[in-house]
Order: sequence, then C-alpha cells, then structure tokens
Amino acid sequence: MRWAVGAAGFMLLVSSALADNLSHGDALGWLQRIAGAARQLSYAGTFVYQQGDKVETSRIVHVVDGSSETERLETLDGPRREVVRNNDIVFSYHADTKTVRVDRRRVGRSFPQILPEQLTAVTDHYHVRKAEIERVAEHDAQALVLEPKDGMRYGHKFWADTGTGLLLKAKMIGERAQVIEQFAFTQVQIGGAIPRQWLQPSLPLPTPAAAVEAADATAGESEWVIKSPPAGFRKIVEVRRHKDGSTSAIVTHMVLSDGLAAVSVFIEPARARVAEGPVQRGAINIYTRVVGDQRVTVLGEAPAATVATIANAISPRNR
Amino acid sequence: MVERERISALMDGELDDAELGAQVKRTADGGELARCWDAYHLIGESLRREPGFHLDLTAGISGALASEPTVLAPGRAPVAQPTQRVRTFALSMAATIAGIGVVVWMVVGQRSDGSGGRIDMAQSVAMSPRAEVATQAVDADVNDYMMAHQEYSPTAAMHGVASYVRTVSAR
Repeated sequence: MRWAVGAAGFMLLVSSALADNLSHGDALGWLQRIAGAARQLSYAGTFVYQQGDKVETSRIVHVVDGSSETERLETLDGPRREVVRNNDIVFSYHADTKTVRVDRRRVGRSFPQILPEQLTAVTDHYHVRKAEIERVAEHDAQALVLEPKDGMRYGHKFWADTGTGLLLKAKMIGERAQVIEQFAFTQVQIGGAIPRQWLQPSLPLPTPAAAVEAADATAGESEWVIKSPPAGFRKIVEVRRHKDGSTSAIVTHMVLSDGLAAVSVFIEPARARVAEGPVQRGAINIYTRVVGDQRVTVLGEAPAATVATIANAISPRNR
Repeated sequence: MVERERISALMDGELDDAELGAQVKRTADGGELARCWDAYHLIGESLRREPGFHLDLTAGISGALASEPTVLAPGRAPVAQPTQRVRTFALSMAATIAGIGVVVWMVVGQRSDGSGGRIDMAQSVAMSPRAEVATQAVDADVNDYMMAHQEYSPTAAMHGVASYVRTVSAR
C-alpha cells in the first residue's frame, strides 16, 4: 500500500516535470525568437520607458537592408538625446551636454549566437514558463515569465508579438516583486516600408577612421581571474579597449552572464583617488574598487549584491 | 584666489569670448586649476543631490578643501554666493564652451572562449582640447561603460534598439 502511494506520487512528479519541461522548451524557443527578431526585422515605433518614478517616451527605428543594419533611438521628452548605429559604428548625441560619442562595436551582437549554449544556464537559474496572450500596442503578444531561482538575479516578464517574435513589452522585477524598469511600445510598425529619413540623425555625425585588422598580440590567458563568481555567472567574452582615442589608456572589459543577465567588469589604471563602493544608476548597479594600481568597475542589470560579489572576486592572475 | 574666481566665472558662463579661450586652455592643463574645476563640479553635484559617479574627483575635492575651506563656508568666502553659482555652472558651462566633444571608445583586442583572438584596431577621431573639457562630466566614464556593456548583454539584445534608452535616459 505504502509502495503504491509512493509510486503514484512518483508518477505524478514525473508527469508534472514533463509538462514543465515542455513549456520550458517552448518558452526558451520564444526567447531565441525574440533575440532573432530584434536584429532581423525592420520596425519603427514609439515606446515608453519607466524606471523608478520616471517615465520617458522615445522613438525607435530599425532597418535591415540586405546585410546592412541601421537603427536610431531618439528621446521625445526632456533634452534631445539620440543614438544612431550603422552596422558596427554607434554614435550617441546628447544635446544637453553637446557631446557626441563614437563607439565601434564588433559586427553582429553576441546574444543570438551564444544563446543555444547558454539556454542550459537560463533553465538552471530561472523558472521559465509561458503565460497568457495579451494585447500590446494593437498586437497580440505572448507573455513569458522568468522567475529567478535565487536572489543573485532579477526576474523578467516579456511580451513578444505572436506573429514576428518582436519584443513589445518587458518588465524587470526585483527581489521584493517591485518593478525595476519596464518598457512598452505604445505604437509600432513591424515590416513594411519604413521611410529612410526616420534614420537621419539630427546633426551631421563625424566619420571615424576605418577599422584595421591585425594579428592579436594579446591572445592568451587573461591577466585577471574571477574566483567563485555568483552561481551561474561565467565569463562570455573579454576585450581590450582604447579609451578616448588614446593609445595609452587601455581598458580591459570582461562580461559575465547567466544566459540572460550580464555583468561587465572594466579594469583600467586608477587616476587620482577612486571613490570605492556601490552606486546605483537607474536599473544598473555599479561597484567600484581599487586592486593594486587598477580601478575595477563592475556594472550590470543585476542586484547590488551580485555586482559587489563579482567586484570582490577579481584579482590579478599572478597573485 | 583671482584664478579661482575666474574658474567660477568660467563655469557660470560669465567670461567674455576673449578671456574664454585662454581660461579653458589654462584649466584643461591638468594642474591646480583642473583640480579646482573638478572640486567645484563635485560640490555642485552634491548640492543638487545627484547620484553622481565621482571617481577621480575625490582627490581634487580633498585637496581643494584642505587649501580652501571657505568654499563650503559661503559667509566667509570672498566670492559672492558661491552656492548659487555651483548650482548652475555645470550646465551653463557646457552650453557655452563645450562645443561638440568627440569621445572615441574602440575595441582593440578580443578574447572570447574558444574563438581565439584578434584585434580590431582603429585610428581615433582627432579630439580638440574642447572635447577634453566636455568629457570632464561626472558621468562620462559610466556612459562609456554602459554603452560598451550593452553590446554584450543578452537582455539588451532582446530589447533591440530600445536598450539604448538605459544609456540616454535623462537623469
């Protein structure tokens, strides 16, 4: 009798686990679809971004034309700020500080490529499930819920267009179920003819010099190690950057990810004295400390404890 | 002291065109005046209670406080209403003298698990001394970092173009 109850209980457990897995696979398929749609679709729309007690409206345009990808974001409230990316070159313009930033990024974002191998990481650290279908910006959207299994990462809820997979609404949720940030399209056009002038920056942008390929003299082991980072976070990339166009100021940039959240580590020579400790900037937590003569800045869309743990886990390899 | 008053005037946008260029050059040199500049900005940030990212400014303010305690004691300061000035100078100076500062932030080498390494070397866009002044903004480093960060963030990739809002969002 006891055996029969045990067996029945076991069967129940297995079948519920199976159902859970099916919905997992489906939900993970949606995550992949969302990431692909963001890059491959042409779309234009207006969206609202809410963070803390602040709400802002922006207009975005993304046009894919053969192998060329151009996108532009412009804030509609407050001082005019815009970002224009043409393939690997990103310009950002802040009218209030009259600053133009130029950022050359690697062609092709890493996420859609790394996602399959990172899916395991996502399911190891989040409960993933498909939720209801809701209407967002006049489109039917499939909701997906990602609940973190521990306090080292935030939860997420995504709403993706059922037809194309484009992300129409997203919420990031903190430990106390508070909304950390959310954005939602209020109006969006997916596909179709998108007028070219919508991509036109509001001021002429400088032309950066062409990129030059060269053999990597720095290949090999990193000069830094991250001992026991928070569960699930592993290094996905390490790059070195020239700062401010200077050849002397080189910044090491490492990225750790659990498949969904990412935390960046920036290491550069400490100039003057550094204010150490945690700082919060919107949805991003930042932690700064000095290691030897280097300033280590860690930041990401993760709880303050996660960012601090990673910052304190960094040390030079040869020590 | 005269120099400090001129820094304050520079920040308030009160210098005329003739004085402006020379004062910017002297200030951007990186010496005592540059530290003074940093300190005044930090005070301004504190007064406005902005959750700034101060980093390199702390040495500047410590030095300035040691040698110039009157900065925080308006009643004894020879400069009239210094607190009123620091409230406004950050923006007004940016508007009057910063021009367009071009900040370049480029990938020079990459190591990725399993992919081997290579360098994307790039020449930098020439920067004027004005650009140096513009990048003194407290958040400059964090903006660079956040921009670089989102290139590799899976959630940012899912958000597509919308992810830039984290960087450009007004504070």
